[in-house]
Amino acid sequence: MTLHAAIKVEAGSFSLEIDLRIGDEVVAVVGPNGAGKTTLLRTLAGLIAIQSGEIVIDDLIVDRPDTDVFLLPEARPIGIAFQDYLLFPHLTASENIAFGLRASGHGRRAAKEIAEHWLERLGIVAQSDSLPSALSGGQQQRVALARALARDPKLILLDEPFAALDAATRGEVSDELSILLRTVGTTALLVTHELRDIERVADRVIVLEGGRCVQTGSLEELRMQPATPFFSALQRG
Amino acid sequence: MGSARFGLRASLRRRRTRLLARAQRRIPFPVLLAGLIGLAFFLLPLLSLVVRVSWGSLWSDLSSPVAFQALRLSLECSLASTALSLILGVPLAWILARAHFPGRALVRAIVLLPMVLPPVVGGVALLFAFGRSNGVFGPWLFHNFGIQLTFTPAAVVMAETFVAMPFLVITVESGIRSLDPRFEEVAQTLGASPRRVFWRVILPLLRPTLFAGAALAWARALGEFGATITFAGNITSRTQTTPLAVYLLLESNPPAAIALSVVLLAVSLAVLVLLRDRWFGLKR
Repeated sequence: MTLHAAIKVEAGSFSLEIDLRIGDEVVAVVGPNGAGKTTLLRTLAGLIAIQSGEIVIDDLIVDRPDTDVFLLPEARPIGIAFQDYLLFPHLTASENIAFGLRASGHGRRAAKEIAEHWLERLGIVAQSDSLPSALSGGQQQRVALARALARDPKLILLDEPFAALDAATRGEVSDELSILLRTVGTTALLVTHELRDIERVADRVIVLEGGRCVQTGSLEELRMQPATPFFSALQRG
Repeated sequence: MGSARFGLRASLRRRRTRLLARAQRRIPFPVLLAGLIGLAFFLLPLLSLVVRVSWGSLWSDLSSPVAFQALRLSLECSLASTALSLILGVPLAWILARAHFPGRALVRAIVLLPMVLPPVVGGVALLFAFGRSNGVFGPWLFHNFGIQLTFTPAAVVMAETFVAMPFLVITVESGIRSLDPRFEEVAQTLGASPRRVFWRVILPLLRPTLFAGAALAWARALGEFGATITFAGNITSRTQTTPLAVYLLLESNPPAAIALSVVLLAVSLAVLVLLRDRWFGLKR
C-alpha cells in the first residue's frame, strides 16, 4: 500500500501543509499540541476536506480539489481509532466490531463470525456480549482497534490510542497492536506523545510542528540528530 | 510516640474538616422557613385531593359512563398526539439542533411559543385557522375535501399536539446537541451510509431523550384543557377529555371529579418518577 498526501488545509489562522509518502510501515506522528496531528488524521479520514493538493491511496484518489474529487469517509479504505475509544455504547463488544462489517455488506452471521474471531485474537472473547460500559479501558481499546481493523482497511489512523490507559495496560495493548499490525500488514499512522509507544510500534517518525513536517526518519536518526528542540524534549520525557 | 502524636493531629484535622463541611451545609433559618412554606403550598392541595377521595366508590366513579368515556378519549387522543409530536417534532428538533440558517432563533421561538402562550389563546388560534366557517383554511378544507376538524376527536389531538409538542422538541433538541459528533464520524469511517448512521447510531443514542421528550409531551397532552375546550369543544364521548370532564363533574358529581383528578395526579407522578434520573441528575 502506498499513501501519498500532498495537502494544504486551512482552518482559521491555522494551516497544515505537508507532503507525505507512506509505504507498508507504521509511522508515528509526534509534535507539540496544536501542531496539526489530529487535523492530519481527520483530513486523511475524510472528515476534513483539503483546499489544495491531493490524497491518493494506491491508485485511488480520495481527495483532489482541482479535479473535484472527494470521497466521503465511508468510501475510503481507512480505519480510525481514538484515544477515548468511542465505542457505540448501545452495542456489545461483538456488535461494535460487526458494525463496520455490516455497513460494508457482510451478512449478519458472517459479520458476527469475523467479530468473534477478532475478539479471540485479542483475548477478550469472554467479553463478546458485554456493553462497553462493562469493559476495562484496555478491553475497550482492544475492541476499538478490532473494530477499525476488521474492515481490512489499507490504512489505519490511531489518534493517541493508548493515552487513556494506565502504564501497564498501555504496554500490553501497544505490544499487541505492534504484533497485530505486522501480521495483518496494515499501514498505520500513530499519533502519540510517548517515546515508548514509538519504540514499541513505529518504523519511522514524523515530527510535526506548526502544521509543517520539520523532520522525518527512524527513531535512531532522530535521536542522533533532532532537528528541533521538541524531539530532544520528548526524549528527556 | 511520634506516630501517636501524628495520629492525634490527623484526627483533629479530620474533625475540623467535618465541622467546616457541616457549617457550609447549614441553611439559614429564613431560607429554610420560606422553602418549607413553598413545599407546603404544593403539598397541601395535593394531599387534600387525596384525602377527599371516597375510596369505597372510586371504581364505580371511574367506570361511570361520563368518566370512563373521558378517560378512554384522553388516553387515545393523548397517545395520538404523542405520536404526532414524535413524527413532526423530532425532525423539527433535528433542524433546530443541526441546521444553520438565518432566522433559526425566530423558528425556535415560534416552536416554543405554545409553552408560554395561554392554551386558550392557542385554541382560539386553531379555531381561526381550521374553523369550518370562520377559519382561514377551514372553509377550504371543508369545501374541497369535506373535512371538518372542529368539534371532532381530531381537533382534540391537534389542540393537545399544539400545546405538548414544544416539550418534546426542546427535550430532543438538547439531546441532539449533546450527542458527541465523533460517534457519527466513527460510524462513517466504518463505512456506514448516512441512513445507517441515523438508524443504527443516532437514533439508539437518542433513545433516552426521545423517551423523556415523549413522556413529557404525553403528560402535557393528557392534562390539556384550554386549547381543547376552545377548539374541540366539550362533547361527551367525542371531545370531552378527562380534564374537561373533571371541570364539568365538579358541579354535578364531585366524587367522580375527584376520582378522575386523582387518576391524572397518579399519572403525572408516574411520569415524574419515570423521568427522575434525567431531571434530578441521578444515575441508575
